[in-house]
Formats: sequence, C-alpha cells, structure tokens
Amino acid sequence: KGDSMATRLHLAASIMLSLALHVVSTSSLSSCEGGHVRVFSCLGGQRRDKSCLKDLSALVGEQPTLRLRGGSDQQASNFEEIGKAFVSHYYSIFDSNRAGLQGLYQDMSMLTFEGEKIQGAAAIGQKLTSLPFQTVKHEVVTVDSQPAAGGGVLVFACGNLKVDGSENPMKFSQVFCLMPLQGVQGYFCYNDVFRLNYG
Amino acid sequence: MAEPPFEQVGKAFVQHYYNTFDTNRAALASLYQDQSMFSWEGEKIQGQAQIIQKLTSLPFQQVAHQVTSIDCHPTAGDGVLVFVCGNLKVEGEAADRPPLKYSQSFVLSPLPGGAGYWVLNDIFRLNYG
Repeated sequence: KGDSMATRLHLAASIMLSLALHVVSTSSLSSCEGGHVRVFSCLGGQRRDKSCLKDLSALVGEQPTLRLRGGSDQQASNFEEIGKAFVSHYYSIFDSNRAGLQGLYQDMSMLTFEGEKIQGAAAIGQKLTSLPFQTVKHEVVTVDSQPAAGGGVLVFACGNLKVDGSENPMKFSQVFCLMPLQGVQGYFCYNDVFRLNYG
Repeated sequence: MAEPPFEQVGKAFVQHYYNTFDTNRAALASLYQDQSMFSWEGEKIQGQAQIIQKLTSLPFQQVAHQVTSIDCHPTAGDGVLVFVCGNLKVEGEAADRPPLKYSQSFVLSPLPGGAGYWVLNDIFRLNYG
C-alpha cells in the first residue's frame, strides 16, 4: 500500500511539475527545499515567482525531496528527473518567450547552433531571439540523461519542430550539459549543441 | 588560426571511434572504463564489459558510419563534449535505400598524464524518418 501511494504521489508530482513549469515559464523559477520538487534557477534579474511552487509542495507532501547530494564532485543522483524537467522547461520557454532562455546560461556557457559557435549568456540570448521565425513549436520525442563530471547532467533530446505554423515538421537533436549553480540550488546550461537532422 | 585542442581531440576521436566500430567493434573496449555510461536507443548500460557486450551483440555484422557533422565543446572536468550526426548503412541493405540517420553524443574525459581520453558518457539515437 505504501508503494502504490508513493507511486501516485510521484505521478501527481510529475504532472504538477509539468503544469508548474508551464505556468511559470515566463518568470523566474527558484528551487525550493524540504519536500519540494526542485526546479531551475533562472538568473539575470528576472522576477522570482514561487507561488505555484507552494501548491506543488502541498501536493508532494511527504514525498522525499529530489535532492542533489553533496558538492560539485558528487554525481547527480536524480539526473533523470533533472534532465526531463530541464527539457520540458527549456522548450516551453523557447516556444512561448525565447528571450526568457537567456537566464539559463552564464558567461562561460557555449552554444553551437547549426555549426555556429556562440559564447556567453548575452550573445546566446541574442542569437536565439534573432532566429528567423516568429513562432516555433518543439515536440520532444526522446530524452536521454546521464550524470556528467562535476555533478552535472548530460541531456540529449531528439524531436520535431514546426516553425511559423508550418505543417512540415523538421527533425532536430540537441545535447545539453547542465552544471550546478554556485551558492544557490539549481542548474545552468553550460554546453548546448543544436542540429537539425535533415531528411 | 590553429584549431583549438578540444576540436582536434573531438575530431580525432570521432574518426578513430567509427573506424574501429566499422572494422573491429570489440576493440572499442579500450575507450571505455568502469565508470563509462552508454545509452543505446534508450537502453542504459554501464561499464566497459557491459558496453562492449552490447556493442558486439548488436543485430548486424557489418556497418558503415558516415559522419555528416561534428560539434565539439570543452566541458566540465577538462572533458570534451562531442556531438556527431551522420548516416549508417547496415549490411544487406540495398544501395538505393536511404541510409539510417543517427545522432550520438560523447563526453570524453582525460586520461592521467595526458595519455589521451576515454569515453565517460555515450548516448546514441537513431533519427527515424
């Protein structure tokens, strides 16, 4: 009975997390402690809105915290959840408010977009907001996550994207290396490589 | 301008990896260690022995990888992130059939004493049409 309760709580938490991430996708997310589900810190002076996270924590209740153990030389024990949560968050922001992505990167972050190399949050933000389309919709088909060096998480996403309401999806692959933030809970995107997979 | 070291490492690795894969898959063993992690079409495998067991038991004898793009970044732990896209042709397929498209991500970790790199992370996915 305990197991099925834990399963239901976990499922509920996953659903609520997806909803919470969607709701707060245009504002800053913070991570919470003590029985709450961990989400991402978006830096860069954005408003921090924790109100929906309180609802989430009430639902999760006694669920053990999805907590990263120890310091930066420990492996992320919940790397699968981190990877899936990140992917959901990343593409949700990308598809609704691309300018909000900048907060996921730092000065040392690197993006390679279809072979073009860009470094630093500002330049990356500039690149992503200047991509030649108004609207885009990403559909993620697969997410693979592995623990990476330095307490990071390697996340590999494959899927389809449709630009400006086009009926013809384009296939893409994208790999991220997420690294723990210093001094606060959460992760930032250190490496990001995007490629279209042409037919 | 000279290519940065991480680019050289990444490209050299990719050439070596697929050359070895396509001619003598068992020899890939030396690239993996006990901590290596491999995801093959969603199946998670850890450790050199298990990884080589998986690679040598894939359901084809002959394969040829054709790399179409390589992207490299320096990453944590003095590692190199290598992201490869390409095509692969498996034995027995008609020459006029479109090749299978794939993407693969590696994180290479330095060996002690600058002796080279080993594969810490390896994720492989076919990109279905």
